[in-house]
Amino acid sequence: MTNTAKRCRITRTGSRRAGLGLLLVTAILVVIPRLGPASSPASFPSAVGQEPAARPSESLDAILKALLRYDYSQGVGEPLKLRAYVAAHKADPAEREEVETKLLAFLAQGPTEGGMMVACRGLRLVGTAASAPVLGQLLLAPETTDPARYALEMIPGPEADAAFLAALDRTGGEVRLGIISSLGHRAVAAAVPRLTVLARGDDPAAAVEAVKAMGKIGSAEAVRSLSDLLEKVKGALKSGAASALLLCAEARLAVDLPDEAAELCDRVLLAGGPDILRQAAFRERIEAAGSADDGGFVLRALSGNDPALREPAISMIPKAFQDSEIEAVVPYLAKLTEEQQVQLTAVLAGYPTAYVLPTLLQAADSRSPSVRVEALRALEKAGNATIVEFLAARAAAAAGVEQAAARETLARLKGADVDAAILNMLEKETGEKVRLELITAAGERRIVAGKPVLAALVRTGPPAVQLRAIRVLRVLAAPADLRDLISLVFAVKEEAAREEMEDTVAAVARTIPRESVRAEAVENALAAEKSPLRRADLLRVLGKIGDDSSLGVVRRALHDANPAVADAAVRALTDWPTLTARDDVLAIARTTANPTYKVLAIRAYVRMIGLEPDLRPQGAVASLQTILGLSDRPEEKKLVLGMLPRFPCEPGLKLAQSLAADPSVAAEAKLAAERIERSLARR
Amino acid sequence: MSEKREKMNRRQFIKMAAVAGGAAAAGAAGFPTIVKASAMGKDGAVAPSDRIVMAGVGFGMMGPGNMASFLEKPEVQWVACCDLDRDHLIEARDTVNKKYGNTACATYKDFRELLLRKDLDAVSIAVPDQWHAILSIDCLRAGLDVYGEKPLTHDLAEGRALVDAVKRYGRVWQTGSWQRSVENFHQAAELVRNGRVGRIKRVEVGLPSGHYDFAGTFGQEALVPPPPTLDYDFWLGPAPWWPYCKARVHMNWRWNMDFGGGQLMDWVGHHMDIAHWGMGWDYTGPVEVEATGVWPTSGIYNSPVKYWVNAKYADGTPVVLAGGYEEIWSGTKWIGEYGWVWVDRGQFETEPESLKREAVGPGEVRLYKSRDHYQNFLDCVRSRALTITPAEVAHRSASVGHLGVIAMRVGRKIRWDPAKETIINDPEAERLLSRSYRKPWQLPE
Repeated sequence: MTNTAKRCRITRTGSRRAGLGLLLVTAILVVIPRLGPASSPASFPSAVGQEPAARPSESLDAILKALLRYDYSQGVGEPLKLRAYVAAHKADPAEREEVETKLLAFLAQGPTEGGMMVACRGLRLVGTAASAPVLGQLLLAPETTDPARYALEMIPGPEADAAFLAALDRTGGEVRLGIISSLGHRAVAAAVPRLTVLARGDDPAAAVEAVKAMGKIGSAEAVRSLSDLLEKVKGALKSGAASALLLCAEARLAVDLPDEAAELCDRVLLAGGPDILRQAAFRERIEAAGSADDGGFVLRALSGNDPALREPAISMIPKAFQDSEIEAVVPYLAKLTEEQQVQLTAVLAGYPTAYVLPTLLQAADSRSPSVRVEALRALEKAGNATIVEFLAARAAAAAGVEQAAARETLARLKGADVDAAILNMLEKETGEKVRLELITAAGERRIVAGKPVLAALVRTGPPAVQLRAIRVLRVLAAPADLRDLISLVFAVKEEAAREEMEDTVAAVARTIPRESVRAEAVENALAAEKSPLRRADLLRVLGKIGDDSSLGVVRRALHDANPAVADAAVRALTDWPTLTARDDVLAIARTTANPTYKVLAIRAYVRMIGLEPDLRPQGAVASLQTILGLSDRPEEKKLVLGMLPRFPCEPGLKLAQSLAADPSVAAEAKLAAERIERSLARR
Repeated sequence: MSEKREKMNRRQFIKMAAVAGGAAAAGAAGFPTIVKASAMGKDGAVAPSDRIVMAGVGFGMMGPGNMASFLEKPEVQWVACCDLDRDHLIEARDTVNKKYGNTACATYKDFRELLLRKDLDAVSIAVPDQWHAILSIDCLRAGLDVYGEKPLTHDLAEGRALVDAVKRYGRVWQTGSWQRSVENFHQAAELVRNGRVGRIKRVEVGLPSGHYDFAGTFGQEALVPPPPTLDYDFWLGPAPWWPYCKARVHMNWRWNMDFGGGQLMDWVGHHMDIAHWGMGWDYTGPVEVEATGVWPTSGIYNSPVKYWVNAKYADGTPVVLAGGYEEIWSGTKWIGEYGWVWVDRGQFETEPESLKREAVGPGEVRLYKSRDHYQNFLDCVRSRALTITPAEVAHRSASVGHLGVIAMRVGRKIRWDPAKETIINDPEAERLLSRSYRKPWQLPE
């Protein structure tokens, strides 16, 4: 029994047991997918995922018989059977040989084009020199050449080479182009004399392909032929020869023949031709020069009269100039065109700060917006703490892309001393716009040490600064900071800022992993607080946190004698993020005489119904219908109509249709009805 | 005859300016006396001399969306479209003309004619995989920067040829692996790269399975003559010949292994790319790969409907790349000593949960940041810097998929040298690194 057979038999025998085990493991992993890293190493799932019929039951003869007249209309089944058969029988030398022999015999029977291609796919894998004669014959005809090449091109050895060479002499037109492609792919050096003839011949298509092939062959003879062409021809063929020589140059560089590579590059450079090829040759030339060049190529190109070479010269600067050597390049920046300045500025980003910082700062003040932007980006890598002030000022003063670049660099500048520099500047800076940029940077950089500075700004800063500081504290603060954050709520006088501060307290509280203690700090503060206004603040925060354990406290506050406290309780309940407060807000809507509270409560109620997508539709509609009895304002009706389609059912449809008679909500009613009808129709 | 429109573009302007001896000199360039405000860059418009002139090849699926994104950029001037399907071509042309309010967009069927234009700076390519290598290399050789779709190439060896061509011609390449320009992927990869879950013990990459009917043509399997609006023979290009049927072209070609590579190759350039990013494997590959697949037994598609690839990297880290197995979550998951990080489109979870709120500090590794994949390409066209998904990176992520397919085909573990890009001691597997091209096509370099 072959090794393959043994392996497959083991697989089949173990498959049932492994399959059950796998099902169990899969079930566990699907049900509880996030318990943490899986403990077992990855392995193939043994019961599934195997090549079907690793040893197909059908014989090769039967499979081939079915393929004799295969014309693709039968689908992929038969071809894949052959593939599976070949896969199962190729490991054993005797079986492999038998497969090859039978496939060749099959080809000799004159199968359909489809059948032939299938067989050749098999020979691509198992074919040997023995296949060369049969496939070599098939290379000659247009209908058979492609399948034959598909197999033969991958079969190693001189026999296959010889078959292609013979076919080259006996074919023309597109068939010959295919043969040339194969010779190039196989890098058949012996083909060069014939390819040279073709390259100089009167078939332009063959000439171009022959040149490509010689580039891939890359032998000394190919190089001579291509060099000769480069001098003698024009147009596309000349360009082709140049590209091919560059390939040859690269091949020589790869095997440590830099002098030969350099010579080829020089030929291409001297030959003229399209800029793209000269640029490629120039780059390659610098590579070939290696450490022997002191950057001279680059510097000469930067100051020379051939503008096309400046771009490749700049791209090769990292290759040619190490660290401090870049100082030799820096003076050229100002002499370049704007486009090239952008390019060189980007390159400077990769150099040590000490050597490029002054230049980049200068570039950041360029008259060209593109250069300024690129310099600002480059400063992310090449900058340090000394440029914090510059970046903050630029971010404050600039607009658009330039402002974005300054901000991004300030946010990503490396070094803990940058954080310190930002905070120092924030403490001293008085300009509002710059302060705003510094605060933003503190948030982006997660400068946790900046909390005291930000807190001070919350207390004493002008409104815009205050707001920005509050928002950044939302990102930087941790649950341990809640007491301090609560004190900031009380310190902020202006309503908008206070509301932001309340949001910040709530956001930080919600990061506490245990839900049941999220509101604890605020509840404790509330219990100790005597001032009605501060109690009101804290109640609103409880509403934003939405910890259900706080509901009792909030409910009691509804009846507080102090109107500010009672107001805060209403707002807390109507802000409640979960549906636990649904009955509370409904009660408010039903009983309050305050029109504002009524609106808030109704809105909250509708919102909370939407928080329960699994609610029975009829039940949801009944709840929504309640609202219509509480308010006849179009605004509330529209809220109801907006929610109805989420719970599609006949009662909901009727309700929507009934509101169509009301001109103030007719359009919304019609839309809601349509959406409900569509949902019902889909069921 | 195709419409052609000569326009002074950025390159020509610079060249003239250089000849004139320095910065733009309106007199030397012979500007007309009356110039539109948009031409002078007023009101937010970008002056013609600063515009990046683009064309597109392929408008069957990703092409229109990519073009739409580029058309939104004020610095792009889109001048031509190329497609072998006349209907796609007309629709693309009309989109461009509507955008600019004119009828100036040129159309081409044959990309070789498009490449004869002298005014192009860049091209956006979105064609079936069998065409990626030839088309891309010809565009690079024509001096164009390229935004190209993934997987980089149909075969592994083509990928290396393409990467070498990008380097040879000094062009800018952006791959359509846009996940790197999305915040949650970037954040996840940075956390992993900075060791926030410790040493990575395993990476799991979950991809889709089966065949999806993108074009709505499943079932249209009758072998019929191709429509006159599609040059089908050209469409096949270097791929082996298959008779035309509607369900095997346009979008659904990817389920045929001669045109695409199934879900594995369609998606490896997304989630495996992210896996590489997090691990710092952008310029390397696995050292061992074994794989298994479930292949169709009937129908017209022959790409695996389920697959499982085990790869091992030089540092011993195992990677599972699978489609159709629920235990491997969709997306990328890095499992480390102290927890894990998982990311997918619109999703990002960590264990411990608090990890996902952590920011990377000022002294830590910062990964290339982009929040607009198309803008990143355009910025790099100007600066000539590497994009966020350059060709080599795309080649390395695609290579994992290619090696997986090869391992499935030969039915055994293959050993790979990622530095030399050779399969070790397995000449049979080596045969599958490339394939013969249908006449008259040849890989250009």
